[in-house]
Amino acid sequence: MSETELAVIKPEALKTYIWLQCFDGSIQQVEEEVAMFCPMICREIVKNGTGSSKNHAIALPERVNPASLSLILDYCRFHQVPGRSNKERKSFDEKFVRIDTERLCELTSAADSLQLKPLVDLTSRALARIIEGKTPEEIRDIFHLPDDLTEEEKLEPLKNINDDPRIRLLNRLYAKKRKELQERQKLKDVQVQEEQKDERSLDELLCFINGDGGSGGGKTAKSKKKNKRRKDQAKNPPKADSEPVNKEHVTPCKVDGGNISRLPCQSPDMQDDVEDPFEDADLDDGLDPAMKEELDREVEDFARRLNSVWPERMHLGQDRRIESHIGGNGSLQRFPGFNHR
Amino acid sequence: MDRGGSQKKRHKSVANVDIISNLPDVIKDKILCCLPIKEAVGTCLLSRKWRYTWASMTELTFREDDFDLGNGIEEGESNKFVYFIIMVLSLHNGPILKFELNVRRVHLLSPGGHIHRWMLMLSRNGVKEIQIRTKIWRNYKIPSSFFSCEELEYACLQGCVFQLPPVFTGFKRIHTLHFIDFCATENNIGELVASCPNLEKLVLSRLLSFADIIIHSTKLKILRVDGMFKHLSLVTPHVSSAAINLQVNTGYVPRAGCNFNLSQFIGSLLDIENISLLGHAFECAAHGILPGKLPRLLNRLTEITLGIDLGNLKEANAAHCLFQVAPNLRCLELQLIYRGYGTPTSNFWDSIDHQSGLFNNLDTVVLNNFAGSCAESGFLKLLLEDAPVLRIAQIKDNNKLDKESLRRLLKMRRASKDAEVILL
Repeated sequence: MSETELAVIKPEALKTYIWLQCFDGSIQQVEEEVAMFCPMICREIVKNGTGSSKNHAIALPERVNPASLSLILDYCRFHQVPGRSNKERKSFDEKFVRIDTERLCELTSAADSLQLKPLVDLTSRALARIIEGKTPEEIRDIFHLPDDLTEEEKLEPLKNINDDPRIRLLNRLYAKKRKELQERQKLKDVQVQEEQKDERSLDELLCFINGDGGSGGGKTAKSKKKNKRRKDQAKNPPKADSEPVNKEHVTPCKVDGGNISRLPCQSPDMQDDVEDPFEDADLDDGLDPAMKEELDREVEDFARRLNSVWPERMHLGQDRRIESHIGGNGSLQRFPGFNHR
Repeated sequence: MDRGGSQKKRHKSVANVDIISNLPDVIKDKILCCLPIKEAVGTCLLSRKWRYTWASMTELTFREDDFDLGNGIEEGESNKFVYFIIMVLSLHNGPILKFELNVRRVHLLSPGGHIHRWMLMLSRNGVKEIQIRTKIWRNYKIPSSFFSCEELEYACLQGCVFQLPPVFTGFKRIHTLHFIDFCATENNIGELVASCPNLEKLVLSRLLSFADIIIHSTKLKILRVDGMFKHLSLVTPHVSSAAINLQVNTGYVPRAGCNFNLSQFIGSLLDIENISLLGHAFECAAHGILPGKLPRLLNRLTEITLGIDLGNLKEANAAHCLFQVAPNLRCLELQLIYRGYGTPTSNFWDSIDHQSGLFNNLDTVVLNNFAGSCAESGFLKLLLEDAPVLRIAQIKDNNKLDKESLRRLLKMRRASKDAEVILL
């Protein structure tokens, strides 16, 4: 800097100067040969003859602020000197763009408005180097970009349709349901029925022996525990996530969850009653299509709810959590049956 | 990846303004073009303003290597690469000025491959630069739509063959043509060059020619040819820099059948500044040049590089002719070869008139592979005695010089008192 200042002071008699005015009104004097390095300024001087006096200073474009201008003049001062080696120029350039990102952006913009192409190339490359190899998060942090895209918008352009997580999720859900259905169909075979019968007979037996109070309470406690687990399953995910948007989606599930936990709790006998029609349904082949229909409807309904709050909710990592909802919902499948009754 | 920090990191400060998004589109384009294309496309995740910025990128560079996930090539990886290109091209909006494709497998380029559709798209988009490289040595046919890229300024094609379409109006704007691993079975390259009125640079790397190649161009300034050839004829009056490195395609044509019409080439030159004839170029050309046949002085010629057998009379003679028409020669570099046949000559260089001023302006001479034979010593003697402003004579002998030759070398008189003989 001092060198260049010296150069300004010393051969004053020999050099011609150009007056430049920034958009904020500040005026400064620059050696003509340095200023001429910028095509925009050069054109002003040659074509319009401005810049020769303070009153006729060249008005610089709005994008050139005083700070950028002084950087640009440094750049011009170095490069307008003939006979510098490529190596020298390169190392100057390298050091020159080691400034903070915000100033680098301003400088790029200013250089562009002065049509100083080599500097625009240099700074653009420097900006690209800053971006390269970074995650979107990091880039947003560096350049203060707003994170204003929805998650869906972020996924949209890069994934092909098969990769749409919504469809993937639904398919997975559907597959799960089908599997459960199949399993239940297997269960309808003797084995489970017998078990169930055994259980009931044990219940009856217990009731018989102990009356309504004691061991019946024990059984309730057991089922309560069971239900509590379910409840937790339903409740935990919303607790885990801090974003309020997600709760919107979760609430309907929670209501259902409430149903789960409340209804069977009323009495163990009730639970048996709940299971009974189901087993009947399973036993009855004619009811199977109805079941499937129900499944379809349920999946559809889930998809609808999924879609309604989709964009905000669709974090990639939530896949698993949503699955756990589904797990919770999986146990719901009995209750529509119950409600029918 | 981006979800990890998204919940906690989000600190929004009012003072920090988003400057980069408000830069002019030209600059954003420049920044994107400096990035690897995956990352450039990835900027669509940054913010609303950046969502489709990439889609108007003017330069697209696709390298299959960037899509290599494991070792070896699997079908899936290549598909990913293809899907990515298709995705980018289908969402792209605006002119594509540069298209570079670097593939490892030819199937993309084979007939009916994607390249045909892409090329058609490019030809409609005013493409200015096309580069297609492949690492596989298997020729593919360049899609005919390539020839309808009217705005083309630069083309670099590797491993391709082509056929000019019947109605080809030529590339009016093209200034550089670069063919790598080009296999010529006819003179289509000559025809192509003839229909590029503004071609300034022609590079044929690793040419494999089974045909007579005839290149006429009045605008050409830079010419580089290397590879195997059968017959080569060049008429390029305004070339300033020419490098021709030819190997004889002995597997295909007998040595005698190879011909490079050097005297016609040299005779056509007006503006040549540096010329390099390596490999068999000079040998195959030598019999074409006869003393006194070269029509005019090449006043701008300052650098000559030759691969030459100084002991071969024809070659020695041809070199002598060349030196005679280059009065301003400053740098001479000879790759000395002993070809082991032809008319040997021991006293050709001794017989040259020392007062002819052959090397009046010679500043530097480099002799590679100097073996100290009679002819070589004779040439060096002539050169040292006849070059008044010589500064450096660099001799690389690969430790082959015996003491006797060395003694002879040191005894040689030097016309230039500044001449420094460096033995490497």
